[in-house]
Amino acid sequence: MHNRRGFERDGAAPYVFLAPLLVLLAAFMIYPVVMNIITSFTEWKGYGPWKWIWLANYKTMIADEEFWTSIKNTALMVLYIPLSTIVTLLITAFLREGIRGWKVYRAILYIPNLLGYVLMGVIFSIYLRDDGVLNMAIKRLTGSTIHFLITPVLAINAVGFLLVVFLHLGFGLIYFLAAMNGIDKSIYEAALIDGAGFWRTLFKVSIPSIRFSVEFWVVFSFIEVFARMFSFIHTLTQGGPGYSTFTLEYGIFIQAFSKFKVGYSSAWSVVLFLFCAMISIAQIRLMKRRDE
Amino acid sequence: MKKFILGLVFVSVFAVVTVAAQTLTVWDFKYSEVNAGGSQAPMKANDAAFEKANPGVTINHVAQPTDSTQYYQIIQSAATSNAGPDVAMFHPGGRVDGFADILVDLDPYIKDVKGQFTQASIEMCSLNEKLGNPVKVLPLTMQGFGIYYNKAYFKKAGLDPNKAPKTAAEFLAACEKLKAAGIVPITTGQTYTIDFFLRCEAANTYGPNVAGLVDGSQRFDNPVFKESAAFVKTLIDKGYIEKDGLSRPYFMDAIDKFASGGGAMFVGLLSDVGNWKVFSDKLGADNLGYFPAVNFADGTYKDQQVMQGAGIAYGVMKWSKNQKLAAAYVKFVTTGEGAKTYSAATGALSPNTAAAGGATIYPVLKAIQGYLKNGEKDYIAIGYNGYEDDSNRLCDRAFVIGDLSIDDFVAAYQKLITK
Repeated sequence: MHNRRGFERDGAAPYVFLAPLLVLLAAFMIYPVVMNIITSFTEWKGYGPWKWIWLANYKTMIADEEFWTSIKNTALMVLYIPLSTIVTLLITAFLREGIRGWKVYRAILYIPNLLGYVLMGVIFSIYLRDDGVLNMAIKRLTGSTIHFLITPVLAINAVGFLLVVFLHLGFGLIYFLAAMNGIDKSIYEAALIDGAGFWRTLFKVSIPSIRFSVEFWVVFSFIEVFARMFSFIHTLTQGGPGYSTFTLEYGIFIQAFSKFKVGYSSAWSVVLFLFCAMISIAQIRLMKRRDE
Repeated sequence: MKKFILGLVFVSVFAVVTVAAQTLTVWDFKYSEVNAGGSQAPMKANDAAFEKANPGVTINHVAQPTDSTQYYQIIQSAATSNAGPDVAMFHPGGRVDGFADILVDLDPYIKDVKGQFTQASIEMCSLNEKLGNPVKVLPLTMQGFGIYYNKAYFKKAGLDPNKAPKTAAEFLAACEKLKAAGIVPITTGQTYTIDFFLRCEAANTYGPNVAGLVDGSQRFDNPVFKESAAFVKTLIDKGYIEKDGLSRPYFMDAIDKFASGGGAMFVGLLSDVGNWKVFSDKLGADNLGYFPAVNFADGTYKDQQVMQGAGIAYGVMKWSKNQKLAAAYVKFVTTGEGAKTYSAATGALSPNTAAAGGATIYPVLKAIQGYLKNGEKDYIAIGYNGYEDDSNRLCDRAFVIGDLSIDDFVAAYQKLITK
């Protein structure tokens, strides 16, 4: 029975229902990926005729200082993922304790998620400017300003902290709170009877119980860093000052839509695709392990 | 027979109505300027005049993003689908060259008016910026950069308001006096203040040979250009270029700040926005001074005005089904009353000699027109697509970040233009 072929066993119905999804997947996922790989072997402005140059774009990319700067900057952003995970878990644990007004705090911390990256990028660009609101307050208090957006080390760290830690906090809280609420209350009661305090309960009960959720969160954060930072960076720093917040994703945009080197940009995109593919494989393995 | 004649009449009337009712779609990155002195009002007036002169024609003028990257991305998308507007606005030079294969050659349509435009503007609007090549776009404005100053602040700081600080020594001394008087010496915006200043200095350094930077016969390691780059560093280190401005958008925050009296000097534009008319109207026509560049002692050339023969221009798209009418529209708005209407309302300088007005109520315009006789090319406008973006990042790295020495900076500029 198990050896019978799927179509024979299940009939046509499942395939009919799946067909629209498969068509969409082919049109909007598989076709663009294949076309991107093909385009990466060409010199193309985004319109007009293609010129096959085979591996020339990749050779240029390997020798391109901008490309390696973008990889370095993206890697720096990745370093914020552990901090983001720890901070989100800690705040979730505090809120789960049922501190007074926790629902209000949760709602406040979720607001940035509602506003979205573009709006938050614009808001922070106004806040963090040398003549912005934050620096006006700092100047009043200390007599000097902090050059958040014109000092490279501050700019990249501002983007890292704001995007990876602060802007993900609201979603993380909701996600981890839901996961922690799924833990059997009797485990917490047992820990309380055993005299476990806040920290011990967090590290011995809460985190081990939601391990899969934490792992999934880390994978999600990787995807955010590699493929979803563009709008925030574009509205906050535009990759600057200089190239200090110029990430792989941002570089792809600049090559394709500022310099109209769509073929060359596709070579960069292939690298981004490989990174994302690796993250996706990790995610699939994680989900499989959970199912098992 | 009666039915046949009636049918023929009906078909003829239908055909006439169909032919007569034509819509021209125009894409424009200036049309969203609804402020006083902005582009939309004169553009609307010109559209109405064209519609009146061409019964049955409707102009569908569409405001597109003002950001160059976004705008050309939309043009690129239109090119990909081989459909879009009949007429579109472009920055002549490298941008037009990049889109040359989707732009109609205008030569057959402009024979009667080509001679009205300055040679520099026709050169800039021709393919690869070479006279004799097909003219791809027709210019609405010419462009350039220079240093505006607020005479009242000069007076307050004990400086002669009628003497522009044109030499490096005079400029530094003026900045010091202004700073001592509690006045911001140079109102700054990211990163164009530095970028425009260096473009002024490139024209002043290389004079008539500035285009050699693009063809390789001139190099950025010229001692005078290096001195001007080092000069910018000095201005930052001494606090004359306000550090607050290095994270402030040039468009329009820094422009508005200078226009509202937020500093003594400003590296501004000659047309479009941040120009002589805007500043004269806000600060007082007699209160505004101007000079084109800072002169260095070892420089061969002095007081050279950096100039783009054409600042913004209109082109006709190859996919347009109404190319002749579209070309007529382009001609209408860039010549005669069309050009005069736009210039008078916005302060843009027209490269159409038949349309250029006197504007005697603006003394600073007289000064600018004098310097324009020594106009030299803006090398960036004849560079490749995306060059401005790259050079701005280099300005950032060199001066704002401070992680490039002057030698490394000019080497990076050289590498960029060679690429």
